[in-house]
Amino acid sequence: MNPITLITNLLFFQPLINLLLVLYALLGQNFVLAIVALTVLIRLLLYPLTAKQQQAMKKMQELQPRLQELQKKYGKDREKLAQEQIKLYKEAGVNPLGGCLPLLIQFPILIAVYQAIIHVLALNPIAVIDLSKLLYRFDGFSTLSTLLPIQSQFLLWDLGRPERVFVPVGGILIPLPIMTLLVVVTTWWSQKVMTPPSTDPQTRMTTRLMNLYMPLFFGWISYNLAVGLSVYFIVTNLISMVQFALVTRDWRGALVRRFALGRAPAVPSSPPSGSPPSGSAPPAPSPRPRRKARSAKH
Amino acid sequence: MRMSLWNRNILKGLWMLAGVALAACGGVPTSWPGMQVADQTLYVANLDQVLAVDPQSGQERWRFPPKDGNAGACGVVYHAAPAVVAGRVLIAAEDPATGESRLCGLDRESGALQWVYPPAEQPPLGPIFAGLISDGTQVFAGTGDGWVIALDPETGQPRWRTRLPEAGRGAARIWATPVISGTLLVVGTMDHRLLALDRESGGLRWPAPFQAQGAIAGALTLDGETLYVGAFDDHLYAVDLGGGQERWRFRAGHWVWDGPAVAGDRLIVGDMSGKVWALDRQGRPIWAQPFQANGPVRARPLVVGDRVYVADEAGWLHWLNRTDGTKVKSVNLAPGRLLTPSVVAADRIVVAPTGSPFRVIAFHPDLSEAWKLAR
Repeated sequence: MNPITLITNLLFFQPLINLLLVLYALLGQNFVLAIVALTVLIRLLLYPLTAKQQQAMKKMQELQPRLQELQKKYGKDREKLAQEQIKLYKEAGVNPLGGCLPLLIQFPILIAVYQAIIHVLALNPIAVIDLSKLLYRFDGFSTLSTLLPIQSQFLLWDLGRPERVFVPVGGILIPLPIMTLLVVVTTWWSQKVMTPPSTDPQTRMTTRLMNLYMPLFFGWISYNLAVGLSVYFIVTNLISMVQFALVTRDWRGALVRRFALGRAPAVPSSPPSGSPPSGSAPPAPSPRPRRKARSAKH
Repeated sequence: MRMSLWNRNILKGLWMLAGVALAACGGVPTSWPGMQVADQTLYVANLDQVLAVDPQSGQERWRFPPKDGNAGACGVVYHAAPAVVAGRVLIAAEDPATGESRLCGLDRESGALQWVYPPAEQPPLGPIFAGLISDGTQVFAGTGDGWVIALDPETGQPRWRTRLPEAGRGAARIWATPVISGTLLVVGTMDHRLLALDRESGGLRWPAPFQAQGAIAGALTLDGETLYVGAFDDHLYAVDLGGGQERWRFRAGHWVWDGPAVAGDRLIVGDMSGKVWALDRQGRPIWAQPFQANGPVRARPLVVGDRVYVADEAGWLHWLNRTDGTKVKSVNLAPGRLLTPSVVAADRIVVAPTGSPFRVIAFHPDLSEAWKLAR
């Protein structure tokens, strides 16, 4: 085993696998609950980072009116505009890339979670052989291995396999990808709620396309990979929205109003809803940031 | 502003890349080779091919699917050890994307496809990792979703299908190659149980009154009226074939995956910590100390005369002295992993590595290389 794999296993993968099994044992051997609990724990662990990210984005939102003024003033002189923007960021103590790190950190976690789910479900002998090397053994005895195999059936789905539910319609089997649709809907919803709008036409177009493609892309992943990963995506999206509502203290807005008004609030999302922050949005429509934006103007 | 736009869209792109990485994680087919020897022919199911090979020379007799042919519903990946009966070679073909399998009957002489079960228009079976076995008139297969199926090898028509009763862990998955004894077909399951079915009807004859604390995933070993069963609770169990009562158990150093090799007065068994023991028929160690391999020993050792061959997951093939377990010689086949049992055919020791550029490698008894077949 190469040193990178060894370190990754030791630091990420092995603790995740064992934690997942312990949660499975504690939660009545219900693997869906174990995935939900693991997701919540990961979000709690990442909370300091995501909160920092959201605070940085709030600051960026508060600077929007002044950035727009700069845009109007130096719109034709790109070099001067960039200089003034950097100056403004410095004055405000804002790093426009401050939101990147938390998102980047989540890539290996996402992959490790997927691998942990697949390995614990032990769908084929090679996965089980790999699993055998990763389980903690206490007093030389592998107590966790007595939990194997995991009960992987959840309602209509085998959590360790891609979603292949069919309904016969007129003698033809029609696929019914319920979990995939849930991933698409929750991803779209969380993006819709949390992605700030933009006044810049180019940015608006890019955002619109990304907000369309990202849910479809995650839907495609979900349809082709194990259903357990879909559970992780859905739970993460829902938790992202709850966290967003907590931060903005705007539950109604997070759930309903933004759709009705066709507007989105200021605080950016976090993956897998996958909407990294934007500094190009206008003053935020949610009550608290908007008040801050006004006060910044005056 | 530009930086923020850059920031957002680059990160979304990175998320997509992460998604692609995830997709790649799930799409690589895994090889779990199986081999069978019948009438001086070696049959190997490994990854995307089933081969019939002359074990003496390594000359290929046929392959399925043929180079210019279409395997139809029998395509993609082949895991389980084939069964050879009368004029047929039976194989299990799996679609790794869905884990669904079909059983296929090939002509023994040419490798031509004769039948598929279930036919393409019917729903497929669950994954099949357990080796296929035959009593000469029927072929038996256990599936990863708890079905045991008996087929007519000539036509592929099912004689019976039995769904094993569940025991609180969902389907009673079968990964262990069953054994036949008289009118019994004994099956070990991933949900820790041992069950005996009637060979002719598929009806349940007995569930073993004892239950292991770990999954039973490997081939069972039959020795007279005693059945030896390895489990993921680090034990090897000796079980009375009459009613499934436990006779004794031996605690190993880690999971015991495959049952032992029977070698005269002793049983040779390996575990996933890489230890190999020789036990007497009461489960007492014979060698002064167990042999320590270089990686987990998943597969049943192979005993030929006074030689014991042990294959480990790190890709080493060891030749031990049966009497005291001392090592005589080892060869390394890395990057291949040796996960499935070696076989002996025409005085050749044959292994089918996983993750190797070679599908099959044959050795002389002294572990000098005889021949190998590239992918």
